[in-house]
Amino acid sequence: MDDSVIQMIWQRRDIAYAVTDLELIVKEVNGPQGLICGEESKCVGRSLYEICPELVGFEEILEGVLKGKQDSIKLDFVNREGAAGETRYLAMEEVPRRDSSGRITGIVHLVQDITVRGELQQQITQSRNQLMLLQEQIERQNLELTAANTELRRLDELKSQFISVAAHELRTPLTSIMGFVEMLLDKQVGTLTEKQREYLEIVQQNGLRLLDLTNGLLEATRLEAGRTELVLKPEDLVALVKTVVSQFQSELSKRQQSLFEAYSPGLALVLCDKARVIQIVTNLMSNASKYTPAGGHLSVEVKPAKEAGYIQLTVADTGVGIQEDDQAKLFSRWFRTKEAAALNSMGSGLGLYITRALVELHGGKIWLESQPNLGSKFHVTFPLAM
Amino acid sequence: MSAITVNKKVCLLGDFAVGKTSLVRRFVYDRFEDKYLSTIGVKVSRKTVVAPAAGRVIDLAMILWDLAGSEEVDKYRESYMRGAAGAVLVCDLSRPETFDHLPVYVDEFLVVNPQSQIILAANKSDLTEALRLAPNQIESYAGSLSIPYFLTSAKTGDMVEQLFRQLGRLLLAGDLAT
Ligand SMILES: Nc1nc2c(ncn2[C@@H]2O[C@H](COP(=O)(O)OP(=O)(O)OP(=O)(O)O)[C@@H](O)[C@H]2O)c(=O)[nH]1
Ligand SMILES: [Mg+2]
Repeated sequence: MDDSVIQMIWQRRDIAYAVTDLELIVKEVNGPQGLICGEESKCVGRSLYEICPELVGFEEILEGVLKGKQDSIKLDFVNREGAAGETRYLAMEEVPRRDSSGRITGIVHLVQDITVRGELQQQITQSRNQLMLLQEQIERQNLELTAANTELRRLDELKSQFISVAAHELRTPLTSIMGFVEMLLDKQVGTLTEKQREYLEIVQQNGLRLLDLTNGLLEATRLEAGRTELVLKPEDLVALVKTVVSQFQSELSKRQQSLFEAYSPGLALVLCDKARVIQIVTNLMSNASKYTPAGGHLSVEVKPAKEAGYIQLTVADTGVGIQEDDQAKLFSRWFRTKEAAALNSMGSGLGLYITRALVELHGGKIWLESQPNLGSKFHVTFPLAM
Repeated sequence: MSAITVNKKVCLLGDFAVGKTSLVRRFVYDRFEDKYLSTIGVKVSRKTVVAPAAGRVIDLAMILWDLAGSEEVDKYRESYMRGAAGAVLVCDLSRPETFDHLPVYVDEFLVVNPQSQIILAANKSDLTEALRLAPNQIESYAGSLSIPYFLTSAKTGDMVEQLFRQLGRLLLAGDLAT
């Protein structure tokens, strides 16, 4: 091949070379400018180690190449700084130089500019590394969140424990107080003046409220801690509702309230905890009566729910109703509407909170429709027993 | 009296982004870059330190091989390591996994260069809020290998000079022993 063709190949492929003698002193340099060292003309006469510090440490291996014991040395992606401070990537190879008789006379130091390939590789590596850093960071944050969560749960449990112990401790002396008040009111220890009776009745009412509150607290913490267990059995919801209704008869007639009942015939059984359903219905009925003026109308209805697989109970009244703003907050802990508080100072704000938790524990839903001064409708669903 | 010059090849080893390039940049150019630019392949830099050894003044030219920490290099790393007299192991104090991987590099390096000197740099000591490795973990690992260790910061420059100078002394002492 003629020399000019070879020159062309060197140039087109961005390859430069230096030739050394056996002492590794550079004798000849050729190829594109700047690949071998800053200025090609200054390379000649210098040691190969000076123009290529990457070879420091390879002395023994180079010795091997010169003796013909080793083929070559290759170094890929050697980084060098270009004139403008940019990174250039070079591929280097050290191969023996032989004369026409095949005797090794030095080294050919080949350098190819592979910056284009290098930059591509760099971008790939960069993205991958940055992704991995991000992933590491997310993992660490997850770990920290899990730890924080566990800590919070423990604190919450401690709080629940504290409340239930406190409520238990309050209940014992309270029961004793209530017992003695009842004895006094029963005149078991002598007659009472009118004033004494009146005051004792106030004590009794407030005692009952306190008892109600402590029971509510105990119940709410049990529910929150997930310690409430249901005894689920197929039950006739209408029969359970009727039981509650009969218990309310005297209360209703005292307040001259009428009750309309509507039960769809032939309803299937629901899967529920009987005692809990009675608690739910009692709460709804008691609210309906409490927040409806004397002479108002109440109704209970049981029918198949719109959602297949459920039965729906509706308790409606013609009472004070609930403002739209308050409706969303109605089922949260300690929430009482202004209207409710004005009508009945005794409520705790836990009733509907507990009711909702119990309904949801059954797998049902609770919601309401209401308009101020026109009344409210509370709907509850229970799943059918399959 | 003109000094004798000794060349020594030193490899920087450790996972990606632990600060190998940054430690070299701080030591050689006294600069720091916040931006992370992954190294691929190898970047060789030279820095000469003057050190007294056996009653003479020696110019020790450290030929620093800043190797890429990424997996792509795994297949060449062994050939890159050849002929090294020393290594700086680097981990990132804010990323415990980079510390866990150090034994892999040590084993690989000692197979290629059994007679070499190793030193440990636990880097990014300036990240005081994010440190996730305790100094005693570093100390006990360095102790198990009988190698010196430094808590460095390429960002502030803390202990970087000391790290490389200590390695320089070890390299020259190793020379005199043989
Ligand atoms: N805060 C802080 N950041 C540092 C320190 N050293 C390096 N960094 C940062 O960490 C990132 C990675 O640093 P490099 O020096 O590129 O890491 P490397 O080990 O060379 O990474 P590879 O080339 O991918 O193997 C960069 O963003 C640096 O700015 C340090 O001491 N402190
Ligand atoms: Mg790097």
